[in-house]
Amino acid sequence: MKKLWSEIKYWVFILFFLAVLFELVASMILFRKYTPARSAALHIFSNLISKPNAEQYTYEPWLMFRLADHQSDSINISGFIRKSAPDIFIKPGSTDTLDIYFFGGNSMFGQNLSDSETIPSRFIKACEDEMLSKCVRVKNFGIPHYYSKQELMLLTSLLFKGDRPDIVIFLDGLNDFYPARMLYYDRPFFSYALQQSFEGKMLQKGRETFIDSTDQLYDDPVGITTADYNNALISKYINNIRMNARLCKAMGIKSYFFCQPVPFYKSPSSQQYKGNFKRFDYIYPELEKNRDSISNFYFLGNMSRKEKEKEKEKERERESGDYDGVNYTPAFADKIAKEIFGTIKNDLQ
Amino acid sequence: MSAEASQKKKPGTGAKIFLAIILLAFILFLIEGIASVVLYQKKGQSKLASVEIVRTLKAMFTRKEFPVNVEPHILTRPDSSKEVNTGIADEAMKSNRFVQDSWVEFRNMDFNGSYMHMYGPKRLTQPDAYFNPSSSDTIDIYFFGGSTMFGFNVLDYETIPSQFVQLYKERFHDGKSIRVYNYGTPTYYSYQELILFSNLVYNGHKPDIVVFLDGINDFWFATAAYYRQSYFSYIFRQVFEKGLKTNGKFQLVDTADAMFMDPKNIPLDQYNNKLVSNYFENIENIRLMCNVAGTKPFFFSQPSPFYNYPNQQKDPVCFKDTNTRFNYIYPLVKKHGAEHKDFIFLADMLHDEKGYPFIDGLHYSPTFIRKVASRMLDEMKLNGQ
Repeated sequence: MKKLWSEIKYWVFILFFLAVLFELVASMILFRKYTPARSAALHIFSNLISKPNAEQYTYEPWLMFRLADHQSDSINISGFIRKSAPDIFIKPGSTDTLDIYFFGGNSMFGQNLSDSETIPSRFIKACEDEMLSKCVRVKNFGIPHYYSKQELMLLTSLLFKGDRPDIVIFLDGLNDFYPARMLYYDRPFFSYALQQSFEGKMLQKGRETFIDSTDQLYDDPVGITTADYNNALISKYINNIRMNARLCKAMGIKSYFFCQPVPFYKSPSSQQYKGNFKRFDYIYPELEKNRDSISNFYFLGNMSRKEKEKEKEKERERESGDYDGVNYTPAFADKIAKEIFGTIKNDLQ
Repeated sequence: MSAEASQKKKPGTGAKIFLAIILLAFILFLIEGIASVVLYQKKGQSKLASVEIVRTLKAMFTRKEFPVNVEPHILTRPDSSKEVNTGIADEAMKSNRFVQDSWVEFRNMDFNGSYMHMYGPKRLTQPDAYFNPSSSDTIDIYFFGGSTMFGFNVLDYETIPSQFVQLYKERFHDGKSIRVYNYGTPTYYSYQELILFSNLVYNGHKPDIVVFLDGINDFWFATAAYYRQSYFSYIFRQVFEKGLKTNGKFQLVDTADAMFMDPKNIPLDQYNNKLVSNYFENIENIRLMCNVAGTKPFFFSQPSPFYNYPNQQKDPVCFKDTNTRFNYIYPLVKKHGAEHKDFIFLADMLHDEKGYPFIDGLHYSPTFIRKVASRMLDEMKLNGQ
């Protein structure tokens, strides 16, 4: 036996070495089939050193994208849901728990805010202050760049999966009417890249460079008058609300639609923004005028203005304090949460 | 003398550098190799890359071509000349392109040919309506499905919706007027059709009847249906995971083949059962959307060459695969479907077929399309009233 081993051991070693070499080469060829990277070592190294960013997006079938999962002290995202802190109000003795889903774009998500400062978190705080008779649990489905149609599709897909909230709350306006071509052409924010991935003959050539055209979303399209464009935007927004309400009614879900405050509307500080933000001066008054004709629609677009009238002496301070760019400050998010709470309070009892 | 010999034995600087480079290259090769093994093990289809590469090489030499040549067209459309059949086969290939579209991910590219016409999400239907002058009502019927409903490899007037109108006109000349729309799109499956239908409802469409013909795409390239993604999800995923972040050259990796394979970490029975339950969940959600739109649905489970087709091996056109998951799944679908009045199992239709029911590996010939349309019309019991 020993003799046989001494005769064949070199061949065994050589065969083993060749098998390992073959596996290495095969892996070097095939890993590219599953991982889009040129070098496996560089890919692993770059993943190790890259810091997680709360604003990284990931692909989401049918809805196109969502924020990538993220964990940190102040921002936590898992799947579609931004953490709310607290996310539940427990009324001792109550056996009923109302599930409330919040939908919206950057403002509902709480851009630049910590988990506890977002509108759904502050909504729970309002429940605590008011000592409701029922338990309330909230989920924050706000996702940056989402607009009314995308939120309708998100709610639809959640319902298809079997989710059954008691109440849904939508806060929209900014992403519907500022990067307004999304609403007009029914195309979410990153459509440009996905369109180019098909049109750029990537399947044939294998390589392409994307041309980022997101800035154009903020401008009026050519070939249509401003008035027609603005009216079309209003009509599409209202249609999304109506369809949403119809879907919710069929499912026995209560729905509320809030038109959000934006810094452009009758605000002297709006000169710093890109694109045509002046359209809000036409669209928002139209929505306010017609608010009673749309069921469960509430216009919060002039919340900043009302505040101004109340406290004129603090006007300058507040105008710069309500918004951080286009996003709400913690104090203003709290005010909006209280306003929403006040509006739907009766349905929570 | 010995000092001279030892001096000779010592390698020079050049040789040292050469050896160092070789050693460095070997170490880099080893690192890259190990890293590749790690990455392959994360997402690869087999336990060893060697196994997959051997399989791939084997498949390259034994790969059967998708039979979209002109011969099946001549067999199934003998009244037309070879030139016409060649033109149809060519046009089917030319028109088989897609564009990105919101919510449904992609649709057919607009196409205006001699035999085939697509615009937006619709394929042209000829005739697209039957108008009875004495009828004040018009029934709008939307047809959904994958490439068989779309009518891959057949002309506009040979598609299921076109034949449906022809047959309706022949049978119910005095019946209500009908108007049909063909939303069949290659590679679509039940969930994608549900999304398309939902989006149409949200855009104000109110069809009276919706017809869904599914099965092949739900259970053939089943990974898409299992994870509820689209056929081209791998492209979009790469765009977000790599393309947008690098903001530079984007390199697409084509992984479409992986969609036809069974996943390696899920027991086969569990996988197949989930496919069936996903299919019926999608149907349930279509019913929900029909409730929102005030529409009546019909669901048809489609014939496939892999199930209950005794003539399959003698059929010169269709795929010859046996032992596919259809033998397990279709009996389950038949059993579950029987519980619902709006569900009709058509997958037994091939049982007595002796002619040419297929125009390529799995798409129906004009003759068989007419039979499917006729059976649909029977089962829907429109009766022209």
